[in-house]
Amino acid sequence: MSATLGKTALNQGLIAMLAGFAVVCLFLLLFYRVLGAIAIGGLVIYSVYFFALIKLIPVTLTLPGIAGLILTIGIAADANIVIFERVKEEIRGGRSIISGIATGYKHGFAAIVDANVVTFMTAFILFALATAEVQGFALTLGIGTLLSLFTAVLATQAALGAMSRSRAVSHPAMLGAARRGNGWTFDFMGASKWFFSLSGTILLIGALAIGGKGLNFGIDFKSGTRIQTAFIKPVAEAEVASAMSAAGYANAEVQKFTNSSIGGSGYQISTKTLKPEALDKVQEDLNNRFGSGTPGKSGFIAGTKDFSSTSIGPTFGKTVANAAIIAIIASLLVISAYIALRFEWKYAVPVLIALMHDLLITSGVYALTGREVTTATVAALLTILGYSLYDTIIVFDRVRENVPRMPRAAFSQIVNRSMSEVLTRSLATSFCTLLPVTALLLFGGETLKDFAFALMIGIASGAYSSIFIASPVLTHWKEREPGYRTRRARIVRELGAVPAYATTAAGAPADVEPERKPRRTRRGSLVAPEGPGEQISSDEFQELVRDLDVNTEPQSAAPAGRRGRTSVAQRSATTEAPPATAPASSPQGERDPAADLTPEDLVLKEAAKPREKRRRPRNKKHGRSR
Amino acid sequence: MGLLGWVIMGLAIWHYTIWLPDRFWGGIVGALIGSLIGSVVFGLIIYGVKVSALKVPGEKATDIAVVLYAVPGALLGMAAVYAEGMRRERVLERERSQIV
Repeated sequence: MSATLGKTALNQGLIAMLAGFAVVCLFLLLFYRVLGAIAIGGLVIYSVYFFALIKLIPVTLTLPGIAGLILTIGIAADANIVIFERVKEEIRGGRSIISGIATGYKHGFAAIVDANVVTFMTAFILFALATAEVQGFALTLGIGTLLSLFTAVLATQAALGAMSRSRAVSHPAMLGAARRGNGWTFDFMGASKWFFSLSGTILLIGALAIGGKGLNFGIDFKSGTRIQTAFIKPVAEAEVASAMSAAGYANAEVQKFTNSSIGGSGYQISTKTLKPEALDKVQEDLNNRFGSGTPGKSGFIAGTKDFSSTSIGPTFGKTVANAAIIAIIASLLVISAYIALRFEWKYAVPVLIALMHDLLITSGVYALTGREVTTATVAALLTILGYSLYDTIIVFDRVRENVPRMPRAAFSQIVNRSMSEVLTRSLATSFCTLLPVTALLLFGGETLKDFAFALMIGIASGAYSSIFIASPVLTHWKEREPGYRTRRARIVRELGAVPAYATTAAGAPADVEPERKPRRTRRGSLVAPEGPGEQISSDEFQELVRDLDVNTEPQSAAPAGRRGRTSVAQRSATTEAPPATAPASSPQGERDPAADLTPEDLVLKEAAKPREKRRRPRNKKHGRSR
Repeated sequence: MGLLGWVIMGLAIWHYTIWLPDRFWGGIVGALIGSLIGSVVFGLIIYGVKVSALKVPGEKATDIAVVLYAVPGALLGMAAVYAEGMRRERVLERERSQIV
């Protein structure tokens, strides 16, 4: 490969990367406003650290390496989106901005760590087992994942924490959390039959395409030679094909590419029959045909410049593919074990099914479109694997979180609820990852276009399968468990059918709060508050109420000064107060235990009730009220 | 290549089991395993009978007909898992009624 041509491809990759970075920044700014600006700051820090690290290690940046880098830009932005959506959710749920930021980071962190650990493990195993091409991808992915964890969680949290008391984020609108959205009320599990059928049809077409057309394996997987050259004079594609045919290589594939550094017209010629020893003759033929015709030292002035060639033996592609397959299987085993430990083993199987779905759909689309399968395609499939895992884990994390919150709901209701909560986030993250890939498709040049195409299909499929394949499979499987069967039977008995979302017997959406373990603490001991931003634990507050002898009206004893405190006091009264706080006349008393609490219900106060004015006993000793 | 075609075909057909009542042994995941195993095994058998050797068709030997060999296998595999699921349900019901 000539230095100019290699540099050109690399430059195209870098331009694509910068363009991708710019559009991701624009998206974050438009969608998240102040939070987006902070995320951009995080991405800039990420880029600086990444650049420093690849200079320090040092890492040779190859095309698969750039692919890994582009994926990590998407992942870094994703991590911010996951947290920001959570922050917005908390603020919309009634928390103060300071409390919302702290809680959003606290809750979003677990999801990010799980997703990043799985991605990092994939990168590590690929690096350990795969060949050099894939190793470049794995190295950049691994470094990028670790760095993004640092910048998305620590750096942006520090920045946002510092800004949280400033005017910049004084109103929820500045964080894009002013309006409470209607939320998704779509019956995801009910519609899953149609989505399954759609996927089945796509796969069926893919299978028939593989049978009918087959995969177009490039010379990476078959022996052959690839020439990249630029002609001094403009030459038509047909003329080059004709020249190759005249030289005895009628099956040669000729592709045109242009860029400013090469000048003239550049061509990539691939042929499976050209042997390395015949290269000189081909170059001479091309020079003779497209040169100036003026005799020079070697007969004619050359018509070609930057003539470079790559000859590949029959085993190269197989070695790359086999090593990648072994690495993928090893990483899937380790990831399954991790998911089984962190979630539950039943969560691991839908993740693997979704992954298989994405990889096979991409293969089917490759067969259907006839695009060439190269070693870069292997890197693209690995990227899809990483992204699909990441996205599914983010979705499952919310399911896991909602399971204890909805102790009497059917699993389909839990999943529907989880999907409605994460769909915006999932769409935003997928869109954000697709932006740099689109940049790669537009600016990446001929070399990277096929790669970007595979990525685009895979990422779209990954986002789709997380919601419409993995989650329904999990639902179907979990609903077979006796506990969930009993729940479903009870709901059917009470309501006649299982509604898409948890409702009361009257059909109103309402939920049950999670069961809390009673904490026994010694009187007078200090206990940490339950949530960030709270300054007193509910136990301490109850103790304070008892000391003040106003336990018959706990709400009236709530300090009314600061917003955060009021919230804590009222929440305590709602969730932990003795039965006296939930009399028959209270709205709580009418609740159906079949339903579950929304995250915001756990924080929101009860509807304001007119407070009875009760004269407090005067302290006669001092002659003034306490 | 033939193996890839069979696996995709098995996976594609499995997607339509969502319309059936969930009585598969092992649920929807059991159905997937049945479909994949059935499609590969039947693909191998039918192709094996055709070429008189037990081998996976390569790139050149794979055509639409070869990929379609997986269809009866996938259906039979899932049917077997479904039948086993029903048998187990019946056994369970019998045991329950005996206890009652």
